[in-house]
Amino acid sequence: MSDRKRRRNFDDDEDSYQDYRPRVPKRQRIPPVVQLCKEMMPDICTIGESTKVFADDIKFLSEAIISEFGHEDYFNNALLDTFRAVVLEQPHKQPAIALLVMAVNAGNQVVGKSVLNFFFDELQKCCTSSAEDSGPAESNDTGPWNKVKLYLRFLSLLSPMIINEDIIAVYQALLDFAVQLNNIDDTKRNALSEAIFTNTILNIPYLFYFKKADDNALQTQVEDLVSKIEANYKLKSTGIKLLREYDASSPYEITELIQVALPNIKKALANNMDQLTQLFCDWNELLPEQPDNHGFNDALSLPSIEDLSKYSSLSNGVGSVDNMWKDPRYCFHVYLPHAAGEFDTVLPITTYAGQLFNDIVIDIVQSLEFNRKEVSRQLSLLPNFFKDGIFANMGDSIAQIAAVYEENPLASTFKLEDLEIEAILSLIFKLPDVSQPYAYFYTLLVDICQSNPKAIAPVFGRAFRFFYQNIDSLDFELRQRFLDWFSVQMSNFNFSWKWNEWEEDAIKFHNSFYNPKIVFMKNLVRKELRLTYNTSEVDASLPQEFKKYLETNFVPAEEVQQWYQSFFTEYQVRLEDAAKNELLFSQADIPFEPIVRDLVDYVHKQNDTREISELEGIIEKLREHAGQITDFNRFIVVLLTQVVVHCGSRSLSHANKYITDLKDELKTIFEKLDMDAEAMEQLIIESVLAYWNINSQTGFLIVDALKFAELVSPKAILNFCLLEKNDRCYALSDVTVIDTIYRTLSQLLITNAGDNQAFEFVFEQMCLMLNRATTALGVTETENVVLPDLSEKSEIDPINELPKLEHTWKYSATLGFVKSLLRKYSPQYVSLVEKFTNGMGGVVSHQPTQQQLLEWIGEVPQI
Amino acid sequence: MSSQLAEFDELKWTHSVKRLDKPSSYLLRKARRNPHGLEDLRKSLVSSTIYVGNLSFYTSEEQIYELFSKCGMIKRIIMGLDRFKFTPCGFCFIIYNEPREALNAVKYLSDTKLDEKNISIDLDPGFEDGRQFGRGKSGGQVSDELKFEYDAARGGFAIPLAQRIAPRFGNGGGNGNGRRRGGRRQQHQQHDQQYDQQYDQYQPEQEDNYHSQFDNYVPEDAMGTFQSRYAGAETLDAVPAEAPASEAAAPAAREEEEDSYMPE
Repeated sequence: MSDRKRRRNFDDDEDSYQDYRPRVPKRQRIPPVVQLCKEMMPDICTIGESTKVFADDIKFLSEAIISEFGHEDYFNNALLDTFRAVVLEQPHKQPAIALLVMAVNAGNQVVGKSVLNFFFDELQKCCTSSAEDSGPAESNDTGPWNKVKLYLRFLSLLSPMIINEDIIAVYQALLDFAVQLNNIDDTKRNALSEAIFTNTILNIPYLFYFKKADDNALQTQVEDLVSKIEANYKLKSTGIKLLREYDASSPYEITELIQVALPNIKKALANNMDQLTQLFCDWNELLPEQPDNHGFNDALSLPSIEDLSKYSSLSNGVGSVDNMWKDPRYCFHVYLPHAAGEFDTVLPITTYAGQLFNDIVIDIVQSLEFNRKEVSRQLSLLPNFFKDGIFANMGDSIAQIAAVYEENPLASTFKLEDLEIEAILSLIFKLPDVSQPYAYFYTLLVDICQSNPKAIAPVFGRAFRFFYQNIDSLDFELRQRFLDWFSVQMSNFNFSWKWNEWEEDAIKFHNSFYNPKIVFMKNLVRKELRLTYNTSEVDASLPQEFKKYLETNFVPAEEVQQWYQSFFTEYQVRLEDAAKNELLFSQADIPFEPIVRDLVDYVHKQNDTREISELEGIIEKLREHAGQITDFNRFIVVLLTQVVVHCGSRSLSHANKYITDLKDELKTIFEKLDMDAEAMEQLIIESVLAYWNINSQTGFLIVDALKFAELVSPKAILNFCLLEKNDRCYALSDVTVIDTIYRTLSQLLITNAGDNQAFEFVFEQMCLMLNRATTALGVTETENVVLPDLSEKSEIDPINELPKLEHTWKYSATLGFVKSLLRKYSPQYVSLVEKFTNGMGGVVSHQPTQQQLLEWIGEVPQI
Repeated sequence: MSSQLAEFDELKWTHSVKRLDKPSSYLLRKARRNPHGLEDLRKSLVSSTIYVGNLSFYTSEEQIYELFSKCGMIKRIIMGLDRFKFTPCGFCFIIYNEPREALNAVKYLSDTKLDEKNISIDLDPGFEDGRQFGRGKSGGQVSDELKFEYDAARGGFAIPLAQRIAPRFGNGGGNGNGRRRGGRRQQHQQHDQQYDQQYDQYQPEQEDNYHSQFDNYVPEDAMGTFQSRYAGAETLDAVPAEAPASEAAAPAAREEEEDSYMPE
């Protein structure tokens, strides 16, 4: 203050100076209530993050709320909105918020009641809105029924200030509702019923958070509730094979979440709630005595079963977590129990704590998807909100944990990192589809790793190894997701990986084309190369055995050479020319090279200066050289396509520009050629891929541009991708081809909705591929094709038996691809189920294959 | 004159943490100065277009595609170019099929690495022709002309070395005798060598820390703090110690850089 005064005096002395002072806008004055909210709400949002100030926070915040609440609507609304945001977005903080509310209630019951009413109303609103069509949910919206779960959990925490009967009535209503939904059809699973059942019973232990076992009346009511639901709720087990993460042998037992839910709760409530005492914080000292208990103003009103029937399948758009219930929720594991010794590193899902932590991590990840950095921070703070000693020290290695465990078998071996990463991986590997774009999960994991690389990186390393070890039986689509995640992780961490571990496999199967591990390693290196300009960095990270994967040719250069050669009668195509990413027809020693140059100049011309007659003139000039060309029509297609692709070779944008500019001219010329349309489209695609043989990803993206320009059809692209040449089908081994198939089919959903021809075509082609594979394997019609055991103790000689092994891998990859397609595009395949079922006998003769396909086809309507 | 930005100025309590898909402080500040600022901000939320900054000059469109296609279907990528040389100068616009996908990219990919650069992503009201060019005097982005530290991936030093050190060491200066001027690639190599040496030196410690464990996958970024971009420059005798080490300088540089993406 005094400083400012002095300056003013000084300014006064120099009158003129005042005028030239920069005009600083006046600071905006905000109303005191807004200022108060700006200071208080962030404190509420971060409550409990620091255990040291927690008690003080509760004291000061509750006092401030008691004195401010009820005076101004702005404050009331801000406070309630903040409470709701924390309850829904950071469920681990619910007990802390509940404690704050009860501290407020002890000081002023009217405020306590207002908060209670607010949350009950929110719960009611969710129930009501679940039967209304409100359009697709926001990406951070977890869905009405998941919110019901979270509100109910919060109300349960407030049990010391609520009349027991009232809160139990809410449970009863929800569980009765779940039973009713479940009983609609005895044979069919009801998604919503399973969600409500599991969600509701998961909350029961929270009734005792601040009561522990001292309320016998409540305990009796809960026991009644549990025994009633156990008697009335019929668990329906669904073993949908299309949704299995592993094809042949799963490395772990497959369990459904719904099957473990009730036993978990019962165990938690048993033995004087021992498990809960070890799990929940003991904050009873901070809890002031509650005055008379409140009741809810109304009973919970649930929508009618009829109103809900449209929404009870929890299909897409309902909200991220609710949607996870659409298909049966199978438990996903990465860090297997006993994998690293005689102990678990992840709290088993068959315990209440394991299920609860999994639930909380998924809720945080899904509801805070708009701020992944905060998700990473909150996950690391998770232990602050639970009893000490549940987890081992952050960052302890497996070896350290094993040592501690040996000394003291009662010490915790659970790693928070393992639990969190496993839960997030379960979201990445969720079948049939993921709840958020892959990018979110990948970068979230990168952020988590960056926040504490020493602790997290080894956890990732163990996951990489686990998937790699089981890649032979891992679902075909999940292999691509694994590859994608791995490459993003690598590119964010300088591509460092201990490749040496995989060297033995790489040597053993170095000649293989279909071995899943080789396919994985090859695609990984290529993906890494596509993610960086600094290829030398990738090169430097690879041991000698893997360097050959740095060569990115789509097909061997010799094949490209032969392909080019097929157009010439005399001219000899050199291998080194064919291997280059350049226009081969402009080689100086090609007799008609000047005409090709004219063509390039023509393509380079501005849109308004090109005349198609000029183009036709160039082609006519070229016709004079027809003697040197085997098939002039085919050659024109190849030449024109490659010239356009060559002119646009600088970048994808350039390619797009030239294709868009010249599409009409190309169409006009191509239509005049006497050629079968299908063969022509095939040739166009071949031309692009021959030019871009060193980078098939770019090649296929250019083919996409040609598709949008209507020069090639989606069917032609699919046909090209599924071709088999020299016993090699790239659709089973090259990620750029696999991606192209998925991309083409997915785009068809937008452009040709309702037309399922392409889907039928792909399925048929796959069936033919399976036929060829079984024939090549020489199995009888009833003989099973068994994946070879390639573990260290196996006696299979990988060199002599490679041809047979190749066919087996090819067969299983094809089958895996079919499984993935049927699952991913199930809405499109549903209408084809009957046709496929009836026609299967005529197409696939190998019995086990036929049975497998029929089984999956039969499951399509359930997805 | 600062203007009001309606809903963008409002305090909201609907979330417990801030959203990452909101206009950056740079965009908000710019909108306040601009009479159509509010309109532009609203457009940027529904435009399907994003601005990507702090790219390496060497990053290609295909690499951008590989990363950004994980957030949605890309309609078009427009590389930011040096307006004289027509070479990439470290930024681009990406147009997605849907606005939702653009918001996803802002949320999910901001601050991730592409070619070792932590990319910055901002909402954008929509691309207009002309905006693909850098607005700096030399043709590139303004920020690259103002930056003081060495950045191999973004054209090395902007200001010749002699000028940079002259005022501090008083050696003539100003007449452009910088030993390390130009020759971006050459500098890059030297820079790499420095890095390599660091890795070599640091390697044993890494081994000590992790080798004994089952799970010794440790990305090199685990040592990120040791690989400060400036450390290399320091040993190159180029930069005075206190100048570059300021992390605080980074945000300022970023703002300047973004400054260059709107045409005058």
